[in-house]
Amino acid sequence: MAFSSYGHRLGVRVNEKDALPRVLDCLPPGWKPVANPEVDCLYSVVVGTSGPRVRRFSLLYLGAQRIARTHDVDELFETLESNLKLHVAEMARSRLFVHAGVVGFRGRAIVLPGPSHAGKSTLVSALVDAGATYYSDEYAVFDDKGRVHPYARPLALRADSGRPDRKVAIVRAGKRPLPVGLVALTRYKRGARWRARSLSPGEALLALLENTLPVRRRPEAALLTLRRVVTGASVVKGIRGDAEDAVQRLLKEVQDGRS
Amino acid sequence: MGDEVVVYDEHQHRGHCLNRTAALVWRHLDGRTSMRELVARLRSELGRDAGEDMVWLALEELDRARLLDGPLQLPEARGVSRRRMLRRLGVAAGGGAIVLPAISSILAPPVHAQASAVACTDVDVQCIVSGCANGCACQSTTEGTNVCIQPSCTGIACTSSAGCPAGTVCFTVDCCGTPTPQCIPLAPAGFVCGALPNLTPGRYSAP
Repeated sequence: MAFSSYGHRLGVRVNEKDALPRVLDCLPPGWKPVANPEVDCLYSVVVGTSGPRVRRFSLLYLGAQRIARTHDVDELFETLESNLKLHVAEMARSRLFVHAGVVGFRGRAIVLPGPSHAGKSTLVSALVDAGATYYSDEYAVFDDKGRVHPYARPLALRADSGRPDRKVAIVRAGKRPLPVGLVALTRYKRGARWRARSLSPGEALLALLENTLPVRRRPEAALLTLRRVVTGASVVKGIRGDAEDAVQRLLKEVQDGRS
Repeated sequence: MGDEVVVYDEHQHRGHCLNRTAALVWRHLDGRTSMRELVARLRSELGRDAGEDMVWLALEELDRARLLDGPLQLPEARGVSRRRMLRRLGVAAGGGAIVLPAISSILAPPVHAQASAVACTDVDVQCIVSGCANGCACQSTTEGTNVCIQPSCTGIACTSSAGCPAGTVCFTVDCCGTPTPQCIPLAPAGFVCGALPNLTPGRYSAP
């Protein structure tokens, strides 16, 4: 099958037709099928079969390069999903992807940049519980005006095993792009109180750049877009404790920023 | 960005934010402006306390960030240590009018370092690498999640993954030769750990 996502054309082929529904679950938000089979890159999924004496590996290729070899089919599809999202985020022509959680609140976006395991999903979930609108728990997707677009997929919270298997139903998902009201670079510390300071526009831009996926590929475009993002937003950096306390502080920051 | 300048170095893949003072010096480094002219321009912008020491301090910062063509050579005759320059400038800037030149820098991480972690279930014990695909190890983080990591020690001590650089997590198993937790790079989807050089069996190697 061939599809496009954010201006990038991709293809996935499988050796077993039963695997196709699982492939569909792995596709990035906003994908669209395309009729033309000519693609920018092609993934090949080879699902290993098991017999009474033989247990074959399941394999995943990107072009000619093998990127996964495992007996665990779930792991294979997790790898496919993660790789597809990352690939699109890096190669997207029309948008800039920054690793961040995003919610909307009173017509402005709160952007929470941070790497994996920084607690983005937990904070996003708590903000949604407090009345914010869900936009993304993985990437902030910016247009060239610096507005953030929804990247809505089921909000995935990690279980104790580390597998993101607890999906949270999204009641309010954003549909329209929003200007950014607040960027909060917070680090979780058990038992800590909220302690954050404002960043200068230059420091803020640098902090966002550190979480920008295509920064090495398109630094000039990234700088231009992020400049527009930080120009109209408050940017704070600091330490946070539990999500409930942080949520109140963040919402207050947005309200103060508007007034 | 206002008084600041943000620079991206495409060769080093580093971003730099120059504060007002560092940016002023950097803007005037055209290969033609003399030190006397530079000091005069600085004084007209920042005030009378700005002097040659401040220019040298800014040049040192720019040199450290590799934003100069070629290495910086401080004139021997000056014989002023950085600490003394800082102290003197600190006294001069005591009125709060002058900000010392400063540059903050980041390393733009490669895409694979920003990938989400791959979860795993078979945690490797005794530093044996087998729990993940492509020769990567499965380890528990300090937060209690199990993820695929690259068996390559960074030497960065940590107490939680939030305190580790992008693309790394904090793990507790003593596979890096120290009993304290260390940040260790994640093995994102598709990463082939088997290509790491000098991997000692049963013990993770330092890069």
